[in-house]
Amino acid sequence: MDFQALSVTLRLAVVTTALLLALALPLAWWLARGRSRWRAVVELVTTLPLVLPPTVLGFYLLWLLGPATLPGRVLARWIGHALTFTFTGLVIGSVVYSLPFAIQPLRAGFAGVPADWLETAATLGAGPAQRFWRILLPSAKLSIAGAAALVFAHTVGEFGVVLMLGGNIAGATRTLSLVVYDQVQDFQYAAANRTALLLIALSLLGLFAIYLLRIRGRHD
Amino acid sequence: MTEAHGRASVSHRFPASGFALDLTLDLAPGWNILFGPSGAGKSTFLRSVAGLLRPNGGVIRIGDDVWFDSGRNVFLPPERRSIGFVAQRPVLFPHLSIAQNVVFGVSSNARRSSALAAEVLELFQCGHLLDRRVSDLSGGEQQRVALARAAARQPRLLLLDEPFRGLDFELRDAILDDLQSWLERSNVPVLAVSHDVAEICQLQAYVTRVRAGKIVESGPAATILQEERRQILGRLGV
Repeated sequence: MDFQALSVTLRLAVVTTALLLALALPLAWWLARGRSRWRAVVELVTTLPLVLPPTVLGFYLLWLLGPATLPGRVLARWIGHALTFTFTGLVIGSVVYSLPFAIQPLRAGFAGVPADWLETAATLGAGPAQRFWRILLPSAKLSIAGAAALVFAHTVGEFGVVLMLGGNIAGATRTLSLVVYDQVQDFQYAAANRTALLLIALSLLGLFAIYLLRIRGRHD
Repeated sequence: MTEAHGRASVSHRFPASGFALDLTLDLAPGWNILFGPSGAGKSTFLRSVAGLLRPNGGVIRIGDDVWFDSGRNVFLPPERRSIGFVAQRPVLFPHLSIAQNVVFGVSSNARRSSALAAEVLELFQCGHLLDRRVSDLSGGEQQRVALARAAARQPRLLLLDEPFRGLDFELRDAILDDLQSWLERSNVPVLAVSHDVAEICQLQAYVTRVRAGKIVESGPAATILQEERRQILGRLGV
């Protein structure tokens, strides 16, 4: 069992989920309620990772985060090292890759909160921030938990982006999905089977969490 | 009649329907009621005063507080207006307890005191609802809690958009009694929309009759609603 890869995978999934929720909550709120004409553009861009081949995404991120571009150089100077083939770079890639999996359920959850709840809260003195914390978040908590579980499971199952951007370095960027690939390449089918079963278990855990949330939501 | 509490002048045009609203109202102490057919613009006026809609033009002023002045580009959002707003369909937050609902609109310090919620609920005869869930309340009970929540804020103006519609007479009268005694004590003026002639006459309200976005006439209920009263009494054979 490759515990190093298991640790990288779990760390990546946890960090990605946390960052992505922080990023997607305000963004999904803006998409669900905002009136800007840029909404359609942002909607399109944030849905793109859903349909793009992960290799395409990984390729452009590799280029963008590498020393060949200005953002890559600025980020490298700011962080102290190049981002490509590092765990930090992998996190950035995962966040982009799983963005639609966070945005879509959150957006649906926010859109399901009746407008007159928010209006009533406003007439009771709650400003935009208070309406977000006191009405929106508690009302959409099932969608938020669902988005978190989905992002976690999706990140655990990532392959293409991780391969392109991380470079498969043991202890730093080698995740379980890459280990399966390596093991199959080396004809270690028994080992590949064990790693694959572990991945299935992890994914089932995430999906089971979503299932439990749905059941609870129905009884609430 | 004492000096007016405030003035609300609202002009607004809906581009899609072409409907134009142009109303100016001096708010008297006590009940100020907008009376008129559906689609006359009464609710739009109320929503403008609440700040839920920004009209094209006008001035909304309560005492010395200016909430809206299109000429000076002043528009306070609803959360910065000292209002209590109760709509026809009561909106209670289902993820909060009844007590939390009642103190939702008061400062966070006061919110912690559970005594306040109990006290205000008692004023509206629903102290016994304190530990119930929102989903277990009847329509009338929900409306009482919504009124208690609006009152708990001690607003400068109470806005009511037909909150008693759909309640039976007995229940409506009971709630109105409680509301009336709270209003008398707190001296808060009310701006309300109502279709109910009997209700309006009973409240000794100052009535503004509205049709197609314009004021037709205004005055004491007994004068303005004379014709409607006669018709109703005639139908009853009195």
